[in-house]
Amino acid sequence: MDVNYINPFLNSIRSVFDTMIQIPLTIGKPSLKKDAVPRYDISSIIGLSGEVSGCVVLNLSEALAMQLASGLIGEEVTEIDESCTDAIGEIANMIAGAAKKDLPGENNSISVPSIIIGRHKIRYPRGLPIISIPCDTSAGRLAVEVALKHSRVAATV
Amino acid sequence: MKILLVDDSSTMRNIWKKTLRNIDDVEITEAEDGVQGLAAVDESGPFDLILLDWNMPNMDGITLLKKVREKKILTPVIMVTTEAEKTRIIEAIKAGANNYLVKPFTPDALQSKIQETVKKTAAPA
Repeated sequence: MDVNYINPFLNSIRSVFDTMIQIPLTIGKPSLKKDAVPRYDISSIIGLSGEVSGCVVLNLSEALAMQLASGLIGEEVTEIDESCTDAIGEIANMIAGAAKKDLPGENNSISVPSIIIGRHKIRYPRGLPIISIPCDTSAGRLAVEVALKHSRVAATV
Repeated sequence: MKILLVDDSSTMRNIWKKTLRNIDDVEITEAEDGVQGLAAVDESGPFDLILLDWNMPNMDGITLLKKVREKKILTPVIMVTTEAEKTRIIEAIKAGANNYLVKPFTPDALQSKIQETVKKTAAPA
């Protein structure tokens, strides 16, 4: 996958954490993921369509989800309830949205986030490499997984 | 001051509400999508300010904004969204948005957008 598809996510992850969550974060080296099995039990999935298409997944543990939700909302979250999953969806939305502006094309769209809780697999778009961006926080680890491709846009006559 | 908050994320609406606590005599109405937002405009308006997300299920924010302006309702609207491309910002301004704030944002940035918008759109005394 083109590095130009990954750098926007490195910047957007940093920006979302610094601006709205305020939990220190270290971003590790992105690597090619060889399977579709998420490491942690919660995934927030966002689809991209347009000149660049595919999906972005924020994958994290329940414990970290509660910590990040607490950081974003500004109140302690102690269970995986609707407010916690909504917060995780919004974090994924902001990461994908902030990255989108730096991807090729000006008319790319993102979907509203879906959340999966519990042991699961993700069926990524077929044939796309999955790049996993590991992140460390004081409250645990998470991964942002990016599977994108450049779509041929039909020329208009 | 009557304010309508339209965002499908309850987290985001709560973040907005925390910022709005600093305003005296604020009355807040919440909507989870454009459909609910439009119903609130019709049934609970007029509002003094609308904070509006772009990407929402059922009806998105830009559609809601266009429908509100078609009704000749001039309530100041601030789009608060992850849509950061110049083309989107221009589209929103053309549709009648009075101001634009890109997520992620700091509470201070939201506060100053609100103050700026209210001041800019206030009727002259």
